[in-house]
Amino acid sequence: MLQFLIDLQQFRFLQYALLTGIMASIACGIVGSYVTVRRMTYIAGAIAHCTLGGMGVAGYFSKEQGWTFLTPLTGATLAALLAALIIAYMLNRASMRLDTVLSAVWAIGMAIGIIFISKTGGYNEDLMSYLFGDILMVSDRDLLLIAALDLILAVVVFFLHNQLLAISFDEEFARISGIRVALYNTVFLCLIALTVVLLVQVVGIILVVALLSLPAAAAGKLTVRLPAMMLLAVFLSLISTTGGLIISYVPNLPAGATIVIVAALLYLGCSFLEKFRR
Amino acid sequence: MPSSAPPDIVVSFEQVDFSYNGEPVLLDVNLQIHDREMIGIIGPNGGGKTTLLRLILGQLKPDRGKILVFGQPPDRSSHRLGYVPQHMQFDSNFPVSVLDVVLMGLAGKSGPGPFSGKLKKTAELALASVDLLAYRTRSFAELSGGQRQRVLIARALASSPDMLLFDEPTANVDTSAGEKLYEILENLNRKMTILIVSHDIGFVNHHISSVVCVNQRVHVHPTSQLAGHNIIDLYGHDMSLIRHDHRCSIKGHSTNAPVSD
Repeated sequence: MLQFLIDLQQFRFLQYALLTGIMASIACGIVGSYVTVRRMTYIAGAIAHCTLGGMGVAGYFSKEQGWTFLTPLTGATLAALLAALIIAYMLNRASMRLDTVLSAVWAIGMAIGIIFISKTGGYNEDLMSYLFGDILMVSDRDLLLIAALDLILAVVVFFLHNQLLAISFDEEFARISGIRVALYNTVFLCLIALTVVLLVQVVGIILVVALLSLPAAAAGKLTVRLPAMMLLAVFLSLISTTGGLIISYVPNLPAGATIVIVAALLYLGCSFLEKFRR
Repeated sequence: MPSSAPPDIVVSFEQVDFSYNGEPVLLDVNLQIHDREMIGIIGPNGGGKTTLLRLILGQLKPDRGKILVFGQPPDRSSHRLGYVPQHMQFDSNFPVSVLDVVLMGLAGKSGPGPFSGKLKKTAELALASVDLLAYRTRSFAELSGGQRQRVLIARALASSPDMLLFDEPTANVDTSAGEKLYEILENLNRKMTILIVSHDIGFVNHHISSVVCVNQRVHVHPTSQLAGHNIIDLYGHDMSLIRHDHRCSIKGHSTNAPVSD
């Protein structure tokens, strides 16, 4: 803890890591709460795995072709949004099984990523950091994009919460009462996509689902209204990311995995509190 | 019963056919519903009750025929309808307060951003009309089945509709809650037309002015005509028909059954 604080003043990468965790927590608590009450964690999982395709393609073109403007984070953002639009289209229109669509998006995204990564130098290193996250590698440009994504999320949710809540609770009634459900579902899936991109920076593709659902589910045990659930989920995410970062620092544990373990412990704690209160 | 000028027709079906994937669900439906009637829509499962409701709501389009709701195509008059679904379909862990649920009835009309104080007042009035204002800050999940049903009525009432459509209002509601429900409906019926889908025949009782029997084809009966042989026609086999009482409607004994107040 002390060593972390001393180094925090000294090393920029550590400051960036801390900031990334804080900003990701805001998105994570808000969007994670919607995802949890709508039971859409599997959709978030599919989008998360699909980002590997975007990161792989972006990494390949920036390293092999010299397109340095295309960072893995930009690639991940584009891939996530594309996946969200495909899933939204299927959800709103086609009569296909959602489950099949999600599995396809999930696997095709990863396959594209693996192919491009294998053709790019430095294969193992990149793949590991994409899959398991590398919060200590966030650059100042990444940090700006993360801040922008966070701002977009907060503004959209502030203005559209009533409609998002209505379609989450009862889609059929929302449609009958004149809400453009297909439009709002598409917006909602794009919000999930942006959040997933933020969380991939923190805990990596594989652990995104845990960070998206654990703090929100824990908060849901202790609250009765969605805004309160979101606030508590943001707070629990903050504890998880910051706490995980600090705990992992000195023994040199993987930060992403440590963050998820902290989130899981908080979830257990909240479950216990819920039982205790009854 | 002296009949005044013919009441306005609020819903009309002319020779309407509807099929799902080539499977006919409704055939040659002709139906007229008048202002401030309370209509029961009954029939076996899969007979087309819900389809009829969805056609009125504009959620489905007929294959043939013409449907008018308040004199307009259904998708253009849906803002004048209040829909009350079955309360059983909800996730009992969903984190919303009672007032949150009622406000959802206004989310299609409010613009972006948080609800204004005026809309909150409107929602509270709707909640008061189902006698649940005192519960506004309670969690929706904590309520009993009957109370949830009333909250969903308030949600439909929030947008001041001219017609209410109910899907199975008495499913999983105990008898006293059912009585309370009909007491509220009777009050609302003075201001608006009410359509109730039900397979609970015992409950389609003295509150209802006429009954629409749906089993691919549609027949309209005043409540007093609903006797055993109709039920056998409808369901194809004998069923035990339990009437809670024998008070027959004194109004509207013809097939067109207008109700004059």
